[in-house]
Parts: sequence; C-alpha cells; structure tokens
Amino acid sequence: MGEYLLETNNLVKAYSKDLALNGVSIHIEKGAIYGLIGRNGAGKTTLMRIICGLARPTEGTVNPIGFANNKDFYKNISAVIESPALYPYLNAYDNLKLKCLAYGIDRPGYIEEKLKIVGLNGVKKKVSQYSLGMKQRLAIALALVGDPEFLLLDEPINGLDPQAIVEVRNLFERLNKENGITILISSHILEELAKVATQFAIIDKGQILEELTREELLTKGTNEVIVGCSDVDLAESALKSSGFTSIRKEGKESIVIGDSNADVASINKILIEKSISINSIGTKSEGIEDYYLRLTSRKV
Amino acid sequence: MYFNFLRMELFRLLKRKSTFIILGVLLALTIFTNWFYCSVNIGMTVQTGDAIEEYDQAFEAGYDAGTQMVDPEEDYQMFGRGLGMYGNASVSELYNYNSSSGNVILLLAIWVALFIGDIYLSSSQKVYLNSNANKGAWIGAKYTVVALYTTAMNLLLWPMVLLSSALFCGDVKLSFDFNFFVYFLVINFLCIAFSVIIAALNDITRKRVPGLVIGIILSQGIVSLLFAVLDILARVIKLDLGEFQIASLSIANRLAVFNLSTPSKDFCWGVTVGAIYIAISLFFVVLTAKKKDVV
Repeated sequence: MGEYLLETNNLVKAYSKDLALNGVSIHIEKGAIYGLIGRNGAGKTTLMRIICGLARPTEGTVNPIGFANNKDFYKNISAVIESPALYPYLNAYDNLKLKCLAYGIDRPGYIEEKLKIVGLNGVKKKVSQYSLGMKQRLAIALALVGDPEFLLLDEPINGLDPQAIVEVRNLFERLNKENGITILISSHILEELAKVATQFAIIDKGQILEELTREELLTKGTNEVIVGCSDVDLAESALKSSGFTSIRKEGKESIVIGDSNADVASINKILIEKSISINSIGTKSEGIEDYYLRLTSRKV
Repeated sequence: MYFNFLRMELFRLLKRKSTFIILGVLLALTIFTNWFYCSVNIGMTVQTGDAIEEYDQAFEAGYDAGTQMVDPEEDYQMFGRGLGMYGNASVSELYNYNSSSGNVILLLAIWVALFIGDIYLSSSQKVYLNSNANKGAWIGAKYTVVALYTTAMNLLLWPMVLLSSALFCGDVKLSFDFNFFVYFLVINFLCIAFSVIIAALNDITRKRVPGLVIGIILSQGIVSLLFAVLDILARVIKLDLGEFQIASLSIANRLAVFNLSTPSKDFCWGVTVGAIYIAISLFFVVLTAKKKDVV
C-alpha cells in the first residue's frame, strides 16, 4: 500500500431532510487515479465538492495528509466539478489568462502550453461557439493552471465523442505518470473508468459500498465457465457429483458453472469421462460493470 | 491574493463588451438629456394678467385649465426646466441635471447585474473559491472593481456633458468650484453605495436576474415613492418625525434632490445613508459566503 495523499473520515452532508452523504470514508493514495463509481445522485459530486472546499460537511473531516497544511492543500488542488465553468464571451486563451492572473502566474508561453496539452492551442473562437467536448477539454486545461498535485474531475468524459474519450483517457494517464498528478475521477461510464483507475470506490445512496484497488477488483470479479453440450441434465449431475455447486442451465444446450474453482480444463475432463459431447467451452469474466451492478443490487 | 483577484476582475471588466456599450449608452442619453433641456422649451407656464383671471374663473367653475404650450413672445412668466433659455448654464449645473436624471444609476444597475451575475451564470466561482481566504479576497476585488467602474462612469459623465452642452446649450461656462467638487464626491459615493446594493443582491441570491430587476426598480425611484407613502402614513398616525423625511433614506431620492447648493448637513446625511447601505450589503455578502456552500 502506498502513501496516502488524502483521506475523508465519516463525511456526512445533509440537505434539509435528505442525506447526500452518510458516513463516507475514502483513502486516496499518492499518485493514484482514484475512480469514484456511482449512479446519478449517489453522492459523487457532493463528495468531490466537499473535498475541494466548495461545500462544508455536516459532519466528518477531510484530512489532506499528503500536504503540509490546509493552505498548502487548497493551493495544490484543482477541480472540474459538474459542468465546465467558463466565461462564454471569452476565448480559450482569455479564460486561462483569468486564472493565471488570479494565481499570479506570469510565465511566457504558460497558457499555450496548457492549451496544447488538451489540443486547443491556437483556437481563437469564443467559448460560446465550442462543442461540449471542447468545453470539457478547456475546463481540464483550466484545471491544470497552477500545476496542481491533486486533480478532481467530475464526469470529465460526459458529452465526449469516442475519439475524444480516448484522447482524454490518454491525457489522464499522461498527467498521472509524467506529471505525478493524483487524480480523483467520478464517472458512471464504468468501463472507461476501469481502463484508467488504479483505485476504486463504489458509492451508492451516499454510502461507500466498497473501496478497492484494481488488483482487488480483478480477484473479486467472478469467472464463470460456460459449456455448450448435447445433454445438459447429464452434464449437471456429472459436475455436481464432482463437487461443483454453483451450476445453472441456460436454455437446453448450455450450462454455466460459477464456482470459484471452476476451470475449463477440469470441467472438460469430467464431461469427456462421462462421454458427454461438448459443442463449446469457454470462460466469461465479470467486469467492473457487472461487479458494480451485483454490489448495488445486493444492497437494494 | 486580493491584488491577483483585482487584476483578474479588471481583465474581465475590459474584456466585457457591456463595459463599453453602457458607456456608449450613457453618452447617448447625456446628449439626449442636454438637447432636451437646452433646446426644447417644455417649461410649465403660468399665464399672467387676463389669462390668470381666465384660469382662475375656469378653476372656480370646476375646470382644470391645465398646462398650455404658449408663445414665448407673449406676456408670460416662465418656470422652465430648460436651462438653455437662460443661455448661461455652467457645465457643473448641467452635470447636476444629468446626475439627478437617474440615467447613471439605471445604467449602473444594468452593468453591475451583468458583471457580477456573469460569475453565477458561468459558475466560475467553482474554479476559485475553495477556501475562505479566496472568498474574502475575491469579494474585495469584485467590489473594488464595481466602485472603480462607478467612479469612472461619474468621471466620464463630465466630458460627455461638456460635449453635449457645447453642441446644444450655447454659451456654456466651465467652472470648477469647491461646491461642485463636494457634490461630485457625495453623488459618486451614493452611486457606489447603489452599485454595491445591486452587486450584493447578485451575490446573495447568486443569480443575475434579481439584481438586474431590483436594480432597475430602485433606479427609477419607485422606492422613493414607497418612502414618501410611509412618510405620509407616519404623519397620519401622528408619529413625530420632526423635519425628518423617510424618503431621505432612498439613494435614488438623494441623487435626485442633491444639487450644487445642497447644505452640507444634507450631504452628510446622504453619505451616512450610503455608508449604512454599503455596510449592510457587505455584511450579508460576507455572511452568505461564509455560511453557504459555493454553487
């Protein structure tokens, strides 16, 4: 386990009678890409708003353990929360110039450098004429002003086309690996998040259901062996007598074995020994999406 | 941090088209106002001699003779608002007429609501306000820029008045006396107080529209009317206010009645009223920033 950059302790956020967050504790490692997974209204944005100081928790604390103090923490974080916060009547350069002025950055070529990272260098038109994808990219460039150590991105790939999603994903990986920026990303596009994140937290109804690393997620995900055969009833009894318990039939010609010790070779051997003819055999791994659905539906 | 935010807000001020459009509209309104005052004879007239007798007879008979446009060659006593008819108005007097017309505060209401409301429309506060230190510095910077633009508007009104009076008001005197200097300082302070109220409305509601609508209403003296009604009510219920008028609590009212010969105690009262409004507005802005989450 690496060194922690930030942790939250039992965060609670109440809005009149509703609890947006209910005892949320997460632990973000330094240098991680931390994926916050949850459906709309699960509490992702509220958690991010509290971490970056835009909202106050009703209870609980944010502990920036990787920073000298709160001042140092707020100086070194940047966030894109909800929609991109940009002045529509300004162009990309002027939007970044505003933040440079606020942060006292007066380095020649600095703004161009940030715009180049997101592929918007030289774009002269006003933000009001941008597509949503361009706005998202500009918002990321804006967040990079000040060279933050910790970046919070709330649904950063919303509205992006497939090519832009790949570009932005590569950008996150580059920022993380080359610049050493720790990134907290929330998204409901789980497969995309799974491609970049090294740590995950699954949040639902204001509570963290599970916090795990990518490796843990891979081991937690179940593997199933699917067999296509001529006699599923015979196959089922043969496998049961061999000690497999999680067996279900799928139609008249398929059988699924969900036991953790199920592997293609042993199942194949058992069925051949019983002279059951096999049409097909293979495995199906549970992805992050299945795991998330299984976890959240169990809670429901 | 404050000076960084100040530079940021000044940059944003100069990048906004409305900053310059509002000044253009002020120039147009100033030209129109001075043309109106100096070239169009709309003076209320009270007829003398036989005409007065006829007027009185008509009035007694139950008819309101009303106001009539009359031939200036005839024997009339004129109470004109048109300074041009005197032919020797000073730029300072014309400045006073323009200031009291309410054009400046109307345009200020619109500009302030656009400038401050912009922050909430674009949600850009989310980019900067992650700590209380930032909030304080940004509030300070925003209100400094609002005060600077208000002062710039009042200062630029002077050359606008000079230009338009040169065009329409004939023999115009340039005079820089102490009274005008004091008058300028007082009305500029009141205008700043007015701008701060509008900006505070935007900051407290965190929307553009309430500041814009209420600002326009306030600039049109509707609140002065309300205060005047309260004045009457106070007298009806025999509340002893002495010489105090509730209407004197209205900034628009103070701007409308102040002139170059206003007694200094009235100026002092005006400044006090403005300072109280500024203090209350800023108190609620800071309270909102401290108590409420950033949206």
